[in-house]
Order: sequence, then structure tokens, then C-alpha cells
Amino acid sequence: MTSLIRCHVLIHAVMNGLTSEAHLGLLVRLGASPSDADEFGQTALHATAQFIGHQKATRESAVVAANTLVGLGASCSVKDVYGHTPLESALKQIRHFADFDGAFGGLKARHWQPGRDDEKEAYELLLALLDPTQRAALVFGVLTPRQNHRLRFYTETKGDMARDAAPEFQSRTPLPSEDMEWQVPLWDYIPQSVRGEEVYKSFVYGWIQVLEAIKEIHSPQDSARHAPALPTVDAITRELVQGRYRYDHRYTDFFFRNGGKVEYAIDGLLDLAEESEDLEWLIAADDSLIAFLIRSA
Amino acid sequence: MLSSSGLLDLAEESEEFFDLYFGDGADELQLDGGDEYKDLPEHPLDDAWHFVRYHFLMDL
Repeated sequence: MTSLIRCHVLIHAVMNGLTSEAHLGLLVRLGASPSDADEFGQTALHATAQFIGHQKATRESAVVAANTLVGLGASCSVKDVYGHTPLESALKQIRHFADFDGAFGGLKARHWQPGRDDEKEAYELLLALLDPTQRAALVFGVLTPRQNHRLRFYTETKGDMARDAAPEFQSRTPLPSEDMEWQVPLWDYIPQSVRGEEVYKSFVYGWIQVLEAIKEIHSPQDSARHAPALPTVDAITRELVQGRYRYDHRYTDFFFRNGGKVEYAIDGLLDLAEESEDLEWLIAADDSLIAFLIRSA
Repeated sequence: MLSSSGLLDLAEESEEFFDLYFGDGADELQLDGGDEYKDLPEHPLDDAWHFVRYHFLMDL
């Protein structure tokens, strides 16, 4: 039993792909401790982070290992000699590979790409490595409180702006697409090939309704009757089709028929929320900004 | 070819925003606002926007 602990058998097991409950559970029953750490203070949970960026099958094994180890009692809060928890080690690895992508002209990871799922295991690993308090703090199981605040600011302001600044069209006469960039929020997040050189009212108003639907899901007008929710692709599509809000289905149908996607709007809102620096948020509390603008007018 | 006007465009367009946040009104704004955001607890995933993007777009 002592030798099992001394040789950090769980760490070696994980590093060699033995990740199932059967394998790891057997080692624990034989005396290995899920909290056993090597000379760098790293546990088997820390070891799972090393597989981010490896082949898909290996990444999947890391997720299985993390969930199994947590189930066997491994602590997500233990820190190595560098002061990193397993979660922080995983985040560091993710940042490392994101930097690599950016530096070498690989995937423009920040932007949405249809069908891309190469990051799935990395995010499942993050979820597995959250301690119960950190997990409980996530709004809708996904957003941190500060992320939720940022995103709500933009879903509300862009939803309102979209409705209030809707451009006027002559009947059946398109307008130059580039004119919309100054009037319609997040217009440039619709790919050029989709929005084209000229746009019809139905397409623009369809886009506006997408932004309104996102606002209605994440920050409902009547929050007593409708709880705020995560504006996922499914939720937005459902809201547009069955929504309690008054949407004109002719615009929605035209927008989707001509290549429009709700993903473009989500992508843009997440970009805004991500790129805004902390400073903006320290000064952009909802009421004070509006009050300041009114006083300045 | 590099776009020579990118930074100039940004600087020009950001004038109003810059004044609002860093000009005369900045102190007033900072005193008034931000408490709600500042008071929210920090979280290790605060900067992990890829994680959020994935959940939103892939519906895990």
C-alpha cells in the first residue's frame, strides 16, 4: 500500500491512459490516494490538464479521468508548488494553445465556425475541475456572475438600439448593405457573402428581431412571469417561432431563408462582452450611465 | 496589404466614447457607477469566454 502512494500510481495511470472508474477505482481500493501529489505538488487531477491539445481520444480520456477522480474523492482545490489548482492548470493550457493558434495563423478561434467541436473536451474538462462552490456560482451553469453582467448589458442595449434605430425602407426597394453598419447593431457580424451589397427590409428586420429575441430571453420584460435564460441557438430559434413577444414571422422567415443565422448575433454579443475591459464595467453600471447621458444632453 | 486607415478610423470613432469615459465626465461616472459589477465575486472562469461561446453555440 505504501509503495502505491510513493510511486504516485494514480498520476502514472492517468498519464498512461488508464482513466476508467474500473482502473482508477481498483487502484484506490488497493491504497492509492486521489489526493496523492508528486514532488511538484501536482495530483492526478493536475495531470488531466496536460492532455489539452492532444488527440481527440486522449482528450476524451482526460475528461473521463477527471470525472472519475472527482467521484473517487479527489479535491479540485489542491494547489501545486506553483500555486495552481487543476482548473488553473487547465486554463493555462487552453491559453497556451489559443496563443499558438493566434501566433501561427491557425484557427481564428474567437469567432464562430459552423460545426467546430475541437474544443469540446477542453470545456468539459473545465466543468469537471470546478469545485462545488465555483460550479454553483455559474449563472445558468455557464456564465460567471461578471460575464453575465457584461452580457446582459449588451443584450439589453443592442436589443433596444435595434428596435429604436430600425432604418426606414421604401416599399420593395433595397438599401446599400454598408449603410446598415451605422444603423443596425452588430450588422458586420453577418458575413459579407450573406448580407450582400444590397439588403431588403425583411432581412434587416429579421436581424433586428433576432436581437430583440436574445434580449427577451436573457433579460425578459416581465421577469416575474418568464425567468431569464441562456440565449442559446435553440432558445432564440424557439423564441422567434413561438415567442410571447410580437415577432413578424415574415421577416424571420425571410432572414433565415436568405442565409441569416442567430449564431452571428450571439458571436457579436459575446465579442462585445469579452472585449470590453474591466474599466468600462466599473463605470458602466446600468443606471448611472443612462443618468449621465441624460444630464449631458 | 495593410490597411493604413485602421488605427485612424478607430481613433476617430472612439472620440465620443473616450471623452465620456476618460474626459470631464469620467470622475462623475466612476463615482456614480460600477458598484454592481465591482461587487460581483471574481471567478476563475471570468476570462474563459471560449468556454461560454462553446456552450452558447453548441448547446452542450
